[in-house]
Amino acid sequence: MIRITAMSMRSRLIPIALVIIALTTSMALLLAVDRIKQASQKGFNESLGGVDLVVGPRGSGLELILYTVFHLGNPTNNITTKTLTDIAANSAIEWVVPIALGDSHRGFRVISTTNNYFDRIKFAGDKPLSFAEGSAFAEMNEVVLGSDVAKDLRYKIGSSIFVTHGSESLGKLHDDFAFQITGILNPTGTPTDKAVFLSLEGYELIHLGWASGSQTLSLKNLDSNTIPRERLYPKTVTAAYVGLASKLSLFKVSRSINDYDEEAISAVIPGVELAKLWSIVGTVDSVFKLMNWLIIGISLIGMVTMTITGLDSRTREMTILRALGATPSKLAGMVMMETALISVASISFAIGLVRLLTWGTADILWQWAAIRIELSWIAADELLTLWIIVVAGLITSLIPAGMVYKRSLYQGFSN
Amino acid sequence: MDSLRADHIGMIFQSLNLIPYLSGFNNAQLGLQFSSKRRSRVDDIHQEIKTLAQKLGLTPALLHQKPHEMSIGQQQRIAVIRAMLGGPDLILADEPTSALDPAATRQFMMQLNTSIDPNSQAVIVVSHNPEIIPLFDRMIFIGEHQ
Repeated sequence: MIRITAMSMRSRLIPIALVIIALTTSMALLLAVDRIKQASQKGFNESLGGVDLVVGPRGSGLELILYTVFHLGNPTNNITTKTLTDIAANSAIEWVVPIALGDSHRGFRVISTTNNYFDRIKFAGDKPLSFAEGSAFAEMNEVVLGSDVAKDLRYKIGSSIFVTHGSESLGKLHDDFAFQITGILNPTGTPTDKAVFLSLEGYELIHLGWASGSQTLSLKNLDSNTIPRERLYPKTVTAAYVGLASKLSLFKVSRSINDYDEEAISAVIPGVELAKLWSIVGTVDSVFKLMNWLIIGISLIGMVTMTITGLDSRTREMTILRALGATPSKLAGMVMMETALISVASISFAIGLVRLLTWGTADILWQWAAIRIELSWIAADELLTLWIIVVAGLITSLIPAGMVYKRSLYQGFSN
Repeated sequence: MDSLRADHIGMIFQSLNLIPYLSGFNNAQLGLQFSSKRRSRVDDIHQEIKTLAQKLGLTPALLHQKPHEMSIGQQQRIAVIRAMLGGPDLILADEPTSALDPAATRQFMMQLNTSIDPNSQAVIVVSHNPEIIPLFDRMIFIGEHQ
């Protein structure tokens, strides 16, 4: 019976191939979109590791996470370093890494921080940052580059660079103070790769003599060595990453920071804010998914339509089989088996296609969208989705199967 | 009803007997597809089909061809093999010769006769052709013929 079905299908190769192509592409689309979504979600969630709280000015927590961790948008307010010192006095807090944002270098964000940033901040769970070359900055005039910055701009250890004021590449250059590259980080797959790190003191230094975005004093006439380093520790920073001694104190500490009454600050749990972000994105995502299921539905209707229109030309075949003793249910089963074969073939092709596509576009996705897509054949939840499609296909094929069953009960040779 | 038909009756139609996408061999084999009883009576399907094909004057090469590559007479002979396989008790033939010329008709009927076992198998043929009457034991006129 399978052989007869297969040979019958081979005799109708072109319409069946077209139906398989339609089903394959719609399923591949579903799988690919889902994978990209998961990969981007995973990428986002793994961008910042080891940090329990982000402390910043009071306001939108999500916004704080977006501009600190993901370099999206601009900080609105600063917090004072005095406040940070007060907070750090809490024994539940193990470490505080302040960051100051605002400047850039040829489109890449400048993050000024302390050099324990490289020990404290992790990525993809708990992987530590590591240096491909050189080491962390020690002096005011030293910088560390993320791997993409070094790669894109072809910088080497020892090159000197200037920093631009503001995040626009058109901003005014801080051309009175050059920084030496002392370290280049290994790739992480996070925004760290696209960042330029320098010391808080160095950052403060190049902003000496700046007021309201314009320069009133040049460092050229100034010997920076004459300024004691302690004096350059900034009065304000953009935000601070905080690590706790024990996760158990997370809510207690965040509440105590939120209640700090000398300055309007708030402590934000990165995971909580990201979950908020995904719930916003989730609506768009489900609309997209709905459309995708509609496409699959339409493809299934296409398959049934093809089967039904094909039945007329198969009257002879069906009648001969009937005369030879095939029961009406056997003929109906033949039609359903055909559908099952088409769905299974489409699924295998879809899996192969997605594998091929992810393999072919992994680099481009990484470069353009910083999405690291995983190369895999099929995940358990995807398999479940595909089974739903097979079952849906079989259910829709009950229509032509029922038609065959009814017809073969009375239809003769004459018509 | 369906299994009775599959087990005991072989059928030959007027024309368009064969499934277009199956080869001669596979079409012939269909006779056994729906009956385990008939299947059990055949030891070696290939051999059986070859022997029957020989009796009916078909070359082995023809068994690998598709119906549209055969003449009507050849298609009818494949249908005979299909009806005969597994030795059904009764063979029903509905105007099997209406598409054949007189010489081919005579040859076809002779071959049909020689390939059945007269002790265990019966053949009922419906025909408009009086020429084939001498080949049968009994004859029933239906309708207004004299």
